[in-house]
Amino acid sequence: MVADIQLLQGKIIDDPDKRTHSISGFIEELTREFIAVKSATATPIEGDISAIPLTDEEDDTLALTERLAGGTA
Amino acid sequence: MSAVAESTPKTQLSVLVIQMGEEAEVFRSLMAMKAIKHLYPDTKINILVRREVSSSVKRVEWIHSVIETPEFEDDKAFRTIALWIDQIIDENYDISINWTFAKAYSRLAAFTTSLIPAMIKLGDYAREDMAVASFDAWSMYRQAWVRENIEQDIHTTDIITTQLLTALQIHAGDPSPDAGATAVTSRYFFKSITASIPFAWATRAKNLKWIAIDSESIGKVKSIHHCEWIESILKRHPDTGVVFLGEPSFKWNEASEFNSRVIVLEERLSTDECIHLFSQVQWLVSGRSAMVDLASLMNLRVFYIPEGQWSVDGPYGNGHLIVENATASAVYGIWSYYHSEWFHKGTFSLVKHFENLGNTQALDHLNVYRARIRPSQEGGGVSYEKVAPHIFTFESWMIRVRGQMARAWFCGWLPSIDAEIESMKLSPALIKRIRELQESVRVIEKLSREGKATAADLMKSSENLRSGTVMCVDDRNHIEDCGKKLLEIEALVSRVVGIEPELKCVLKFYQTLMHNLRGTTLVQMAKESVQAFDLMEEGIEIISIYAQKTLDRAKPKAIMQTVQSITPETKK
Repeated sequence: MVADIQLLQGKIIDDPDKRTHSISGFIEELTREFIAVKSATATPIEGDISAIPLTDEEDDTLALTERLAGGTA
Repeated sequence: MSAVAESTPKTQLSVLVIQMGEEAEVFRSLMAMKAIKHLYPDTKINILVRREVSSSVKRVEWIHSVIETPEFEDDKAFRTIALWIDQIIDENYDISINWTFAKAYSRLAAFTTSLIPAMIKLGDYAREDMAVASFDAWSMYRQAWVRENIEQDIHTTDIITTQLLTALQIHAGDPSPDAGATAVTSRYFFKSITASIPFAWATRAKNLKWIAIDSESIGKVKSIHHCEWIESILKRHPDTGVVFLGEPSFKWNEASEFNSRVIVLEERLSTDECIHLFSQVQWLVSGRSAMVDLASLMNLRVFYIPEGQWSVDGPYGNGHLIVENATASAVYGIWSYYHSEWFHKGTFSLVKHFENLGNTQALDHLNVYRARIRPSQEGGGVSYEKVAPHIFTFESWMIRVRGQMARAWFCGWLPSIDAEIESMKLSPALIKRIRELQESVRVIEKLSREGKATAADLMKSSENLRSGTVMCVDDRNHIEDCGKKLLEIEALVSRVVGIEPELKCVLKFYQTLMHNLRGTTLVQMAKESVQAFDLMEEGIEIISIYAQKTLDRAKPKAIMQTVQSITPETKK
């Protein structure tokens, strides 16, 4: 027997307009990862990367993050 | 009149490969992408890479677009990254696939995968709870086994190629019938550009055959006296030169009489410089390094000397060599045999070659593997044939079996077990160890059957419920009992694995499947549990068959069907 086809076909996103509540959180987390990767090749970050403040820009970017919400999984 | 949206023709799918890992991973991805492009020529292949490792990708003409990660200042990072994502989502991708595996970049790539919309997604992604999970079976397999250093014999390039190929077969149908079996690697893989090259290399003797040596990676293999085999090559092959990529960490004799045929490029070469140099050399001698993956792409023959034990990684393609536990004289012996292969055409063996060199003791404890691409009718992909010695250890036997399990699970085909076992030289130690393994295999076989039955019972019971939250006490107790029993079974499998660690692969895969349950209702989750135990049962059955067939082959066989009794008459 082969594994169930659902396991092999990947996830089908059947609702491209799907909104997720955590789009802003995802971008914040992605930004932290980018900073951590950048810092790993320079000076290491001390302490917890989740403590890095990112929210100063958030107000300006709210409209943008709403637009980004389409189709995430 | 309103416009009617037309679906993308299946053959012109737009695929986004998310590869945010190390440069070696980028090269392996390029190999897989080329194979896909070959089989589905109309597919638009796009790639997202980190800016620091994007130079090679930009030199590939058939890639539709290259998306680089942004440059940013820390205080404006959030806005820059949000804008970057905003630009990417303007393109509609039919399929996105995350091939990033390097631990340092896996979360970065997982969040990117979640943020970029696509109709079909494969690979690892970030869940709403910020944990990383996998969309598909091959990604789970990598998480469960490759991440956990459970050795198996499927090369990473084959894993990712098969992953995307299977998805394309499901969603877009069979590949182009005109694709044939053309090789995907080539010296001309990259578009040629005018790259600056080191002066010492530009002014080399053009009449020599050059061997590039990755000084840093082979310098880590301290057990080999590297100067010795390099000098043997230079001494016995006057038409050969050596170029060191990086200053050798081992002591190279600067007063050597052969130094006119030696170039040392002390500065680290850029990827463009490496591409240029690799198009002009005959061999690359290297340990674990991204150079090996680049050389494989460019069809440059690799002599691979890994540090410590080799697991299936490194060179991909035909004719590459992997050498374990070698001495300097063994390295020379193997290289000289394969370097002159065009001349002797295999009319004598490697062992005979060592006899001719008067150095058969160099073969002791030596492992030599030769890479070969299997014909597509045998399933394709790279395989590594053991050239010397032929005795199989239990570990190498288990690696083969695990590869067989994965192929049975996800590919639906198996290389012939009989033919594989026939080619093995069995030892009493291997047979003894397989017998020990069989006991644990029988226990897990029984547990997986029990787990499957319990999960099926749970599924049936929950299917009969009118509500997932309100139910009678008996139903609730039964569901709780099933749940407890499933946990007990997992604990028992875990105990067996404690006694027989070689079966950790079965437990890890089950646990990864459970981590990636997609269902939102009890029925759906119970159904997925049935499938997980089903895969466990099938995997363990493969081990059982493989073990039994190996033991059968080790049994003494009668050489005559009947023995004629010797009577006094026949004596006369």
